[in-house]
Amino acid sequence: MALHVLSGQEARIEKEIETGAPVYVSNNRATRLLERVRTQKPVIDIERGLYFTESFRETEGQPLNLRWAKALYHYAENATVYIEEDQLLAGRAGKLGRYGVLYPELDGDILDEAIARLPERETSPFDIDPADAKIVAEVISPFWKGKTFHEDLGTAFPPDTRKLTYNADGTSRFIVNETASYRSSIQWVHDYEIVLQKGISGIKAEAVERLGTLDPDSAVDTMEKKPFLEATILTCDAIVLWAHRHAVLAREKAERDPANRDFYLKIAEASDWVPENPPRSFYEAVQSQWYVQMFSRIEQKTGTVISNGRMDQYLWPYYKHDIVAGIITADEAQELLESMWVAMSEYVDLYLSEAGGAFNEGYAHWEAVTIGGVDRDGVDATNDLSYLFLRSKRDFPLNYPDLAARVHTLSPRRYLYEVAETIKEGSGFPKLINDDEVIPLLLAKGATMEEANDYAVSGCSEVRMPNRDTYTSPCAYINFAAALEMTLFHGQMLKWEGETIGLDVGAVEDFETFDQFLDAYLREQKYFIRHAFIQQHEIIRLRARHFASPLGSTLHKLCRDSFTDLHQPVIPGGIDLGYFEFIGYGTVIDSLAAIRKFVYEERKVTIRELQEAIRHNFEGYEELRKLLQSAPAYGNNDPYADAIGKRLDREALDFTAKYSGELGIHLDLRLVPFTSHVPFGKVVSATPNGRLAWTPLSDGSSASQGADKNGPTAVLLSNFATKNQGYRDRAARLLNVKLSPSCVAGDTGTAKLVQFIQAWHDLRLWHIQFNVLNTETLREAQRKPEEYRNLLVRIAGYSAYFTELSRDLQDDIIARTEQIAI
Amino acid sequence: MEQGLISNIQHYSLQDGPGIRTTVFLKGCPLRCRWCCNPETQSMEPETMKGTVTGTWMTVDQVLREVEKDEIFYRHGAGGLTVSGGEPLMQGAFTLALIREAKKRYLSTAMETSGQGDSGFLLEIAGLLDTIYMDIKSMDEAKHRKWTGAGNAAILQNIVQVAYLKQRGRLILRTPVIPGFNDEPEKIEAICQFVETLPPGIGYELLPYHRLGRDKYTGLDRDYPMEDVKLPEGRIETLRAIVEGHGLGLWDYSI
Repeated sequence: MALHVLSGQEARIEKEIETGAPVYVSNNRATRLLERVRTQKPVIDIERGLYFTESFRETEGQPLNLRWAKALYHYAENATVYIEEDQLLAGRAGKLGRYGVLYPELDGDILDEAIARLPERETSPFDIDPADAKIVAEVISPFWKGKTFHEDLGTAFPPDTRKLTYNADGTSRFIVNETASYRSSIQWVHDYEIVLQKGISGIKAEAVERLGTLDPDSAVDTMEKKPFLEATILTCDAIVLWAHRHAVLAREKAERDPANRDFYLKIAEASDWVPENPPRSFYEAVQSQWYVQMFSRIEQKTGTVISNGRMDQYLWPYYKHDIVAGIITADEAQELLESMWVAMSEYVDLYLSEAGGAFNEGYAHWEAVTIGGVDRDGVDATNDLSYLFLRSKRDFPLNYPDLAARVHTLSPRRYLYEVAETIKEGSGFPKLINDDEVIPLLLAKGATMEEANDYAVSGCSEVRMPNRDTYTSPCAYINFAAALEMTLFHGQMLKWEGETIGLDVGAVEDFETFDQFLDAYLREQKYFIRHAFIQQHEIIRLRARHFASPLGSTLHKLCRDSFTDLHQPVIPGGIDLGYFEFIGYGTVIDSLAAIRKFVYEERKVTIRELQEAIRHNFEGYEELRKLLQSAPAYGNNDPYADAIGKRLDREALDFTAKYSGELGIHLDLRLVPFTSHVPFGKVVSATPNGRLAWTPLSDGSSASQGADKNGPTAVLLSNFATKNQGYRDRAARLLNVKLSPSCVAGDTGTAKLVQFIQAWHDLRLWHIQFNVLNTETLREAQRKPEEYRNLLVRIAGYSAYFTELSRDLQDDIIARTEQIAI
Repeated sequence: MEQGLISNIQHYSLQDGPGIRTTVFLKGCPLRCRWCCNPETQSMEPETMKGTVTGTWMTVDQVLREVEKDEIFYRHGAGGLTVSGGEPLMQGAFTLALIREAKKRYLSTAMETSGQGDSGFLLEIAGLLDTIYMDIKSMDEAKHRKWTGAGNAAILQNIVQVAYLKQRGRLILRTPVIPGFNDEPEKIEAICQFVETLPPGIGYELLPYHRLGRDKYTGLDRDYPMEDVKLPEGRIETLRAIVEGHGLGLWDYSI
């Protein structure tokens, strides 16, 4: 057995520290590209914002989808195009290096102050050229003031809803948090395959033909279908023009740089041909997809960055053909894909608002690339390209793309083992999505078998059926720990003492039984969800005024069939899959369990005493805090706590089952925080589970910090036990499991990780992602123990919270000179 | 009804046998090894460590119901129950009853034992187990006594008997390598020679010393006997080479 048990990534890091030079598996074009950008701080590129502003200025009063298409065309005509040394894939949304893009139509009203703050901001900072900042202030910002969706939404909510959503100054209150004002749409996946099959010219030709069949006497034809088709045609022209301009530049470079002539001519030839035409090779297929993907980013700011669908499926025929014909080798294909990963990483998702930044800390991105799963026929779809993506994930030291692996009952053994090996490599990718949880739920919501089988992962943990899914409005994140606080404090929160924000559910101090208390909490919970639904009603209503997606609509069959833009509330034939987030699940369950046990069962503390302790943030109440922390907790496979969790889940499901239909959508219950549990925690004072004031809430469907004492099997089982599987109105539950390299060392270790994944799959849990524990994490935990309180380390028969160990024991574990079973 | 004094039941054990397992740690051990990293399992009495009481009386059924909670994780590999401690043989009757019932419930079974205990129970249990781990600490009787509180004669005899059992699961011998006790090449050489006298197909592995249970002694208000010793740099590699030189080792045959 190995003694220095380092993950592949750690071994690489150690070698780099030792030699002072980066270590790569292969030294190819992609690694050269990566070297150039790896440590750059991103810069704001204003061209997209500027050209959209210029175009919109000229198109007032026109149908929004047409305006949008014109803006895209104006961009395509005028934006700087780049051809970069070593980069075979042409097309980017900003200057060379790492860049962020402005979407002033979204929250441009806060552009000025955001730009001022961005370079020094702690979470995800950006630089901006002073000349560009000037243009923002003088040209872009003034045009959009008063016109943005953010402003429109800000005035739309009724007072009771407003109170829960915004502070007086319009900033987020982190209670019932809308997420629509900082992203133009929820996560999304385009049907990339249609561009490969028909070419943009084929899609355009169909639109042109239909345009010719319109009836000029028909008002609907003239006012609805005509703009849609014109927008389609113009968008097609725009993306083709954009591609062609790259070909022109590439030819110029070929002239000026004879040594690399062939390289540049290759790019030119491809950009002349795709995405206009169906690709003739794997390289052209990748380039075509890349153009669509990048143009989509120019079109709008999709939440989590536009997702990339089932790449191993739609690129497969081209890959297979080229390999067999000897046109490309696997290594060359991998190099090409890695060039794409680098280019993806250069576009950095830029959030102007505080909420946006805080919910997406660390330049978060989830441009999901899906591999594996079953095909439309329900048969395993794994192919050589799936394995190539995994190999690239192991070899290439970059946390792009966000690789998502679908797992089903008959996933091949090799696939599962390679997935496990890839996870072990240290990056924690791929995340796993469970076919056998997802597909039945999609069917229950009206999908056909083929559509459900063919789903693509989208964003952080969602799924899409391209050409069937039509929902695009971002949804509420709800702070249920705040609901609990309001239950205890008569609709008030200690952070805003004196202001009644929520429901006063009665004299909790006088309740005799836990059922009374739980009932009161559930009323507050329901109140919060009510307002989330009111938010959603307004968001759906107003978004169509501000956003159009001519590219997205062009690529969506239902949009094309009904001449309806993707952002319209109703698209005939569509299935609208939205959701709302339950943030603070573990925190709330544990708090209710503590109340049940110590207030109502063992009668060791009264509600009044609890309120006092919370007011004092447990200072002077240390014994009480310890007692509360000893209550049964979620994540330990303990029925006492899990029963409460299941009840909370069911009450939320009952609400959405009853009230989603009238909105015309499925607003499913989800437990996916991004990084919102941190800012949400900042407004919640101490909680009855012993959590201290203003500290992070529990994350996703994980246990509260430090509450999971029985290891990851118990966390999975608690997850399972708290689900209500008789309901269909459910979506993802985010589950992060910490993994130690030494624990899964060697072939035996891989096998055990596979077994764990198989058990997760059997339990029909939606999502799982492994965070590989490494030396960096442990050192971080030493520096900031308050953020790592649930970092459990297991030591030959003993488990301990790393942060509770003595310092030199921690150092021992970090040094890892002996074999330990963490 | 048979009850056992249980120190801890740990789910998701990855180092205590094939697959994903649940390890049941029994309380009570006849030895007092200086390097013990689970000191709270030594005494047969419940005691308090860092504010928590360790040592609960549980029936076979109670123990197995806890183990069976993770049943879904045992399915795809050869995971299941591992009995450890302390020294399971110190509660031989309970351990035997536990293993018997586990088999009735189609659980895979493993045990870790120091080998210091009643041969009757040991052999009967070994005949039922899928995997058995036995410690082999040193061939040096005097040193063995000085560092563990007992000699090695009974242990070696138990190992031989288990090795020759016609009906038994996999036998894996383990040597905890302790600085100052058995970390010299001659010591390991002697153990290897002994192992070579046994029937073939027995696994053997070295477990390098670690002091990660040290905090537990503080929690129990006890001094840590090992102080600040460490294995010399490169020593384990040298010793492993000796083991491999004898054609011994551990094969990952039952994943």
